[in-house]
Amino acid sequence: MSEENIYDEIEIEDMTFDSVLQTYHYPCPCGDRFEINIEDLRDGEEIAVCPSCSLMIRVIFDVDDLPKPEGGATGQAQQVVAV
Amino acid sequence: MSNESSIHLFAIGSNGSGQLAQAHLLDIKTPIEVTIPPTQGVSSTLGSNIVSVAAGGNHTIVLCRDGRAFTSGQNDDGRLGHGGEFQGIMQVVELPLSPARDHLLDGITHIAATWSATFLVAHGMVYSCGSGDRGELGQGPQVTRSGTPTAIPNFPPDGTQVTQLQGCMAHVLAVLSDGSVYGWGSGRKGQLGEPSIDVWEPRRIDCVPFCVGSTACGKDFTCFISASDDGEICVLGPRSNDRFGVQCAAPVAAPGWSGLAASWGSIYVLTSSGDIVAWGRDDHGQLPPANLPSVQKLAAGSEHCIALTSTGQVLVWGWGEHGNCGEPIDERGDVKGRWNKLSAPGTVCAVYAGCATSFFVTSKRAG
Repeated sequence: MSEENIYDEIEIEDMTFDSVLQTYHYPCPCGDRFEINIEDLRDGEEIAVCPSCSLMIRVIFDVDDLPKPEGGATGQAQQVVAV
Repeated sequence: MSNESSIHLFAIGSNGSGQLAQAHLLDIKTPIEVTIPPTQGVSSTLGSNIVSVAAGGNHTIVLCRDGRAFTSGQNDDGRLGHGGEFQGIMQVVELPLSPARDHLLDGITHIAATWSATFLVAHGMVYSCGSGDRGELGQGPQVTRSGTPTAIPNFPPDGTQVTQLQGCMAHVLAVLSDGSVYGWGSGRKGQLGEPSIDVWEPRRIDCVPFCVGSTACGKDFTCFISASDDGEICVLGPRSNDRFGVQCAAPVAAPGWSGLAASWGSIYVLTSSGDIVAWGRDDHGQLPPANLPSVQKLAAGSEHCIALTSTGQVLVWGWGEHGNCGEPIDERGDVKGRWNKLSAPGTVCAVYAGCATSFFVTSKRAG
């Protein structure tokens, strides 16, 4: 992963979490969004990609601060996600 | 009639959500005219006078001199300000006060956009519609969605009018007739002053040490330039992430300034002599290339620029992966260290830019 391709470094607090898709996203200057699945973050992946262009961002986060996979929030959206 | 001229709007670049108002959703690689369908009850070209163009992440707003605004692009949250279900068609904004749906009385004077919201100044109020999770709508705490244009309560203060309105990805800046400046939306990077938090309704910014002449919003910063010819400069944000020097490399002043613009990560001051003083990120060639001809008008998109030169040429440079900087582009999608020229029929009189989109207005002698 070339440093050249990293558009920006974004703190996870500035990203939006989609509880249905279980992804964090952030606006890309092309009009689409950088996206990364929370499972990938838990696995230590830190690069979020844009599906519409070549740009990527590095997500600044601490694995320990991520929402826990089970037994966390029990909103309605959680029930949709079959495990 | 023979000496009347017609005004035309041309667009190029990212069009995946119909933001360039075409019959398809493909990116546009050569400038194409933006029109209004005959069903809108106006001529096929975009009105006789275009005052300004504003662009969000995936939508475009066009303001005409008669006070009507037209929008096109993504509309899942009502950000277009009308009930239009079709992507890719310019349709007139439906203000709640449009009497008997007579849009010639809309009286819209200013427009702005954030990523997913539209802002309109009309009849002394600021209307917002669309969505924003960080206070972008300005309609109060935790109001994240507005399906139709709704007035921001208690703003501007009595006795004042909005004289300038600017938006970027997630925050909005308004300059008022008494010289005061208000902002709302995303504020974690200090772009709205202190305290550095998201701001859900217009909050006065009182830390700028001079009388503000103009403002420009970037992704997570705001630039102010003084009303005086001295061109004093103040940049708020981007806290904790200024690796491109938007704030720390800013000049103290840009004397003789005539215009101010910002991309998501760079700031541009146009001077009355046609030079551009610019700083910030240049990794995709966003800063003006060397030996650029004298410029009379300049617009900055998310990561590119479009300029109208003193001799009437349209030049584009920066990140052009979606065709927004014309051709050719390099292997990274950039027009870096050089510029491309966009050709247009007629005389170009204005330029605008959005997220990987570029716009210019031409005047063409009729007949």
